Amino acid sequence: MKVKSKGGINMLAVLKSCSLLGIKGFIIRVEVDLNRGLPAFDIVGLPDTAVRESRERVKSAIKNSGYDFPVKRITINLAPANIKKIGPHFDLAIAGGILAAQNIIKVKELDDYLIVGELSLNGDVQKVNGILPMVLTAKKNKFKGVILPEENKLEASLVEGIEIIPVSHISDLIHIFGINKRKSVFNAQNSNKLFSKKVKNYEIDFSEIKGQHEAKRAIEIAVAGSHNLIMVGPPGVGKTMLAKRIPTIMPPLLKEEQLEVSRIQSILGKVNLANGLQTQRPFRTPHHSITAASMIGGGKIPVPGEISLAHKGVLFLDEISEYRRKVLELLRQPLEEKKVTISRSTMTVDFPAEFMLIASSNPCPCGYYGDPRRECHCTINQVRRYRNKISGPLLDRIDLQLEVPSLDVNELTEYKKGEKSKNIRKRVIAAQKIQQFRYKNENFINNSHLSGKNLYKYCKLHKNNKILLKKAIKELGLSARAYDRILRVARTISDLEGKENIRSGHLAEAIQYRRLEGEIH
Amino acid sequence: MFKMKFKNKREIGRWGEIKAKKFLEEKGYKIISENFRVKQGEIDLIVTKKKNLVFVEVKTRKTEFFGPPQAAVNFKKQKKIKTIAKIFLMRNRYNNYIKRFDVISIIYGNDKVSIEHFKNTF
Repeated sequence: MKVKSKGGINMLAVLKSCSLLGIKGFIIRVEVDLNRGLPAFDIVGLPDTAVRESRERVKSAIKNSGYDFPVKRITINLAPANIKKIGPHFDLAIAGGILAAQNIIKVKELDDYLIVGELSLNGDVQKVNGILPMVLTAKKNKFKGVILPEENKLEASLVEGIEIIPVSHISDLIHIFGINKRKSVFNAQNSNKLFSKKVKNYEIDFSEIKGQHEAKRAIEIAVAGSHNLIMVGPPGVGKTMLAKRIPTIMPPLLKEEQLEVSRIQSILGKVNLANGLQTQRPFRTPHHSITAASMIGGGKIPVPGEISLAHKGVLFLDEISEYRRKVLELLRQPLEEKKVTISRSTMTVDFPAEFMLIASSNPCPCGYYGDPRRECHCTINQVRRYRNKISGPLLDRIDLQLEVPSLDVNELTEYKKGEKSKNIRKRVIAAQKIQQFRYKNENFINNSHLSGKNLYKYCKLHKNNKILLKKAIKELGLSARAYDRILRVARTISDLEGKENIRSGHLAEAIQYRRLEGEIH
Repeated sequence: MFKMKFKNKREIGRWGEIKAKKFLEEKGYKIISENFRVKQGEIDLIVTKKKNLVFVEVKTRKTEFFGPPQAAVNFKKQKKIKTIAKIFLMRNRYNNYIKRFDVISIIYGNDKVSIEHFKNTF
């Protein structure tokens, strides 16, 4: 903070705050100038509505905290002026600047601190969204600390090596470095406790699902190699039930992953640290009425969408044919690049979107096409139209196609528990470790990323297996793109067994996950 | 100083305008017009100094309890003064003058009078 004073009338104070574009933060200089003249209060530097409205909040907050609001011509500049300033978190810095320009806050130490917080009319500092990315920005820019709302201190303490100074009222800001120094740094000694390695128990478990062994096996393969999966079957066979249990067999989030997931949630103000950081993988099930903007993220000022909220977890599209075609097509780029780029006239923003796509669908509009026990009464054209809703290029990115048949009556009535999620998870983690080791020199870690050159490098086939694959392709009428995917899936199957080479059994199993090809499309 | 006693608000304003007039004359301004009144309203003082033509709005208040006097010269009032200034310029020749709008705020509470002059305000 710098205070210049010309004869005690014109004063300038500069404080630092932060603005977010996507998940990237920018340092914003809040310059406050008090001038003689007709009383006015202007904010310049591309403020949006919430920032402009902060005038009224700041005015009331200062008055109601027992300080004089200066009867001066007040000009606030938010620099750099070319970045759009969004959100109410500039309140505290603006109020602080006004107090500093009047020499109520006098010290230079504030220069090393980032100030964020929303004010209420009585001067209380309210919590704001996006604290995690802001504190990370402060750390990156070598700030000494961050002054932030009391309610956000836990979230902020996830970032190590930076002072966290929580304030709950505007007068706290004055006392931090004011005449009676009362600086209190939030000691995040327990922040490591927030990162827990233990997997929290899920309320659901794979053992609750009767039968459907084939489906469970396919899901295990999908998770082990991070393959995308589509389940096709008549209504009521447990497709949704299966999908909901997928996170239970995924490995818990690593420390860095927890931070990454929380960072996205932080922008939307959804971080809940009551029970420590989230170790469970995100599982998102958007309704099929979802719009393009809420799926991939968007808005005039882009915010993350469902696919970013599913980052490091599962995006489950139930009844995928019911989704708008446009929405589904938008998934293609993020599935490929593991991130989504949102362009608006004023800015381009990247959000991470590394998720497993799990889809489910009925085989036809009535749902019973191919069911041995109930007759389908759809016309061929109806079935064709229904299936054409999922485009080839999207299906191209789904490695496993799985048919989930209706259960046998005997299996249904029998009380027999399936395998527990815990045991499946052990196998999945083992298979993923093999992959991580194998791809340690590559820029990917999963079998699902294998393509082109790498596919041949890591999925070498024995001569006999090549013949087997050729025969399968010919007789089942599989496409060229199916070939790649069979290899990828076969690679994962052999990893699950801990085998170095792909064997004929693995290949044969992989081939059968393509058997819907042609039938479904 | 004496204790101010006014019968009504118009008297307060009138008193303030006389104060402002004296204040400006002391500073070397020449009074051109007092209470220049047209259909749209009036301008309290129109004065000149060198090649400056200044339209002055005088605001008088007893206390700052409801804000300082100058805060009462809001956008609506400013617009009004500008309109009247245009009419004044149509009727009088001040082509070579630099035009300016000033506000003089007078507070007379607590047995003392304080006058503030804000130049080139709007």
